[in-house]
Amino acid sequence: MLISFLLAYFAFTLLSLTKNRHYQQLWPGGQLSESTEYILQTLGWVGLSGSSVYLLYQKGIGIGLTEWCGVLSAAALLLVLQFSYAPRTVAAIALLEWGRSSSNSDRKQ
Amino acid sequence: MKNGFRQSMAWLHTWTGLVVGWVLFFVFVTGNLGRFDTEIDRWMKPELPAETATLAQSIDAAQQRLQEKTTGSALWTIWPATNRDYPNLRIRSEDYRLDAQGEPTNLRGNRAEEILDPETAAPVQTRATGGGQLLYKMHYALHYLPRNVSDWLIGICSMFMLVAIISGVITHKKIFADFFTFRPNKGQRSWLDLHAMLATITLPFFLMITYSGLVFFVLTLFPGIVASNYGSGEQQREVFNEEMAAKEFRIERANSPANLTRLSALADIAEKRWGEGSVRLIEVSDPGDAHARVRVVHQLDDTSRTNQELIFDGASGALLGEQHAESQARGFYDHLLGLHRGLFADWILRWLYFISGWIGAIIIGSGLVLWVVKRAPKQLKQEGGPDIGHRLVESLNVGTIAGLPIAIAAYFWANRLLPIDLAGRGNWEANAMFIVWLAALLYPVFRPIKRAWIEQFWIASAALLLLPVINALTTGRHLLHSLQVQDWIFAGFDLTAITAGLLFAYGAIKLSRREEVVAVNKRDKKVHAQLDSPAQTI
Repeated sequence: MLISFLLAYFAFTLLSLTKNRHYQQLWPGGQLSESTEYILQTLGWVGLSGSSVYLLYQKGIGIGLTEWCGVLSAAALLLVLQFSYAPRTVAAIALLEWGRSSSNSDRKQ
Repeated sequence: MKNGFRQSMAWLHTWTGLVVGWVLFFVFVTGNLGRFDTEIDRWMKPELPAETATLAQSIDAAQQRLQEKTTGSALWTIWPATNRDYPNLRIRSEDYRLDAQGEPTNLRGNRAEEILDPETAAPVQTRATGGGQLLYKMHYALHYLPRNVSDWLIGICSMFMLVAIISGVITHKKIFADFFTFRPNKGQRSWLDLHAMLATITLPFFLMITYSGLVFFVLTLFPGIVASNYGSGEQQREVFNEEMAAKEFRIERANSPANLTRLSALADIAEKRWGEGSVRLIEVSDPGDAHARVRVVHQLDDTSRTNQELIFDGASGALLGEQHAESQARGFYDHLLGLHRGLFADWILRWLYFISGWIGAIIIGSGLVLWVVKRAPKQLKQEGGPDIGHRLVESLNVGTIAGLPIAIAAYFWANRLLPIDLAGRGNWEANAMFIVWLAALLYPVFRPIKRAWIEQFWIASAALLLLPVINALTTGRHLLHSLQVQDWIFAGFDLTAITAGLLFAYGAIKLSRREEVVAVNKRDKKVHAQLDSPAQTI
């Protein structure tokens, strides 16, 4: 459950960065390049799928799906509260992800 | 109604939500407390000992007690203390209903339930209390109403809720763009953010709980389904209920007596097959009859309400079969109801259910507040003050959102403070709750609305924060003690009450500050106005 939660949480973090409003909250004046946005979005959705697949595999369809819904709500709620009250705590985590994904995109070019 | 699809949906959302919002808030709060019904039960019956008996000992004691107490029962049920739902050994016997000649019919009659001490096979005496079960039942039975009225009422409210959810999703313009957005301290904007954001992130839960809630009432709301196959009327309905609950393995009573086999031996067979601690309950139909059947049921480990089970011949103890097949429709029905109840949930999932439920209550509460906030600027400018309708909604909001928690705290206070030998004690606990709620509903009518919010938040906070104190004074089991002996039921109850109390205190402080700011702003404006035009006096 914890692994699934972390996967969902990081996936949501990546997806939230593709939303201009939240990106600006962390890096005011910054603008996301189209290719990075595409990568973040893909990784985000992969992460979300991963968190569901993991739970379904672990707990079976019935309980797995039920727990996944709960995990999604909890992960999203944590992120929302961070954005509202302590955006820097998101930035710390996001930076890590950001470094990884931007170096990925560099390698591609 | 306004023009345009989205505007129409917004209108629909606003008004379907408003008319049933207060009932739904009550349903969500009491139903959500039901996630911990057993734990609340334990807290409200502090006399109950913790169980240590073995499975065999428990079942032997249950069989002994049932054999001594009953004759010709239709059904016995034994719940050994093997899981969270049954922390103590519990037994139930159901009789056949007698017809006019005193002959037993096929229909069920009286049922009697007891909690047993597995050491002595004697019933355990506890204080008379509705416990967590009553609180949980309120969310669909509404306590004072007869069941056929409350079924319809809750059914209709749930239908409104479903309409409000769907129209709300359509109305919400930027589901993905605003997925993670909550902007605090911005008045109406913040309320809308809170309402929409929480509803978005818990949408699967919200839809599931509402839809499955409706499915509970499907046979009430669509009586035609049953009537078209069984005919209408009380009698036909009961025949249907019997068949609906019927199990394939049951056969007609033989009406010749036979000794019932030792049930603990059958439970042992089941444990060998399934593993230790996996027996949830044992049912015996027609005990003492040659055609008695014993059903040993596995713990709930799936979302379905039905589970693996072994069927034994009650007289010989022979294993007859495993788990009966289920129709697709019945399976769907059982899965939805199982999901709604979440009895299968382990601790983490149970807390996730619990948190989602609170979010549900906050969504409803914020929707109700939003209705007022949106209309307040115009209403306050009106000559002669706000409309009576506006004032009514405001008062109901205070009385429900801040008042219901006070009332629930009163329910727990009553459990600890009412004299043990009071006649109808269990009823008085619930009466105390509703009397306090009524007072909380009337209170805002006589107070300025902003003051009413702050004052009721403070009362709720005090009532909840004092609960652990009262518990410590009346039972001696204070929080530190509970933590030391790792009694998570008592410690959890205390900590939850304290958390809730602190949240209400935070709310009260925040509202007081805002009111001060508003007051200062107003005064400044007045002073400025006087300075600008010294000729005008007040």
